[in-house]
Amino acid sequence: MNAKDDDRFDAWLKEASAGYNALPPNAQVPREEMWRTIAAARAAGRTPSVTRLVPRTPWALAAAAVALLAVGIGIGRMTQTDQGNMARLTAPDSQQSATYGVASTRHLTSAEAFVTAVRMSSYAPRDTAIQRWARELLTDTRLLLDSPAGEDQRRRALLEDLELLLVQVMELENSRTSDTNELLLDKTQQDQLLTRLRANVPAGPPARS
Amino acid sequence: MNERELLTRAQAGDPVAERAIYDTHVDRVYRLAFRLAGDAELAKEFTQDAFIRAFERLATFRGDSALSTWLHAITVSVALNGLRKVRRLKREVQLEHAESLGSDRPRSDPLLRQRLNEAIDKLPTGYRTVFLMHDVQGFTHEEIGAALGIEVGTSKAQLFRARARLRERLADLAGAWSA
Repeated sequence: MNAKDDDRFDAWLKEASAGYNALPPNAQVPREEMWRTIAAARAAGRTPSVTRLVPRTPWALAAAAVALLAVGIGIGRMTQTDQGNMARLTAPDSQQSATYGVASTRHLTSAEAFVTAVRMSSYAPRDTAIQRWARELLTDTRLLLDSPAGEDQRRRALLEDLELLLVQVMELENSRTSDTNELLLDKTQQDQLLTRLRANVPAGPPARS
Repeated sequence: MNERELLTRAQAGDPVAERAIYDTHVDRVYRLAFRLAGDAELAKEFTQDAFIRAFERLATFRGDSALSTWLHAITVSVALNGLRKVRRLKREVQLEHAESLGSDRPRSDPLLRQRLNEAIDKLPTGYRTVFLMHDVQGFTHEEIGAALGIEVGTSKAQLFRARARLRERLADLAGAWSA
């Protein structure tokens, strides 16, 4: 195929693909129906299905940290009881792994949203919302690093890189120049981290109304 | 009221401003979701989820990009996550539509369209998303870059590769477009 054919193909492709997954001509966008669901979800204070995207309050952060620790302590105690019963020991191990897996996934999903937000905004120093969010994620990241979830080498490396980015974002609190921001917030670093986060976050179903 | 004022009011929690933002952007968001999902129910779910997310995090939107770009970024993220899970694309509605267009577009017969649709479906997610956003929905590479969190050059490269992949898969139908 020569260059002329390529151009012809591209022109044909553009025209022919216009019908791909196109709304039928008589289809209506269900504006009101969707708005009712959105408004109801907003009124109920529902968080999105994939992740909670707004920074939590310090109280919520403390509660989350306590809950995570409590789960860890509870699982630890479960695994230490009935040590003579091998059958019962295997169950808590898998349960422990699953619990930390869920906690890690939730955390990495939040982290993905955070890095995307950072990636999209060339924010100025002292962006308190972003930095509050970073601080919250940093606490959870460190809790996970110190938990059994951090024993998985691949996950640990990811959490450590995330921790580094979060620390850098928080460093911006003391920074006032855009030059410093650019040095601290390397886009390539964010891109690579985002790719790895996405690869580690299993997809969830869309929100059901 | 301009978009900046609307945004400020919505960020302060004004539901009227939120509705105005929704009214301004919902059609394009829904159409984008439909292009990616190929299913009305999924498009509805993705659109709802995208707006819920957007309103939840409106306080973090600084206005560095256009609000529409930001909304499309959220929509694409929601849709791709949802589709990864769903792993299926319903095509009946689209195929019916394709056939209805056949009469006034002689070079796009239904069989050819079906082959094209299958080839698009088989593209890797990244290629497919960029191809649909650029060639089908008319987004610029800058908008795609912002929405997907990739560089403009990456968007261009992915579009080039998507077209090449489609050309390769449809090579046996060369007569259809070179005629």
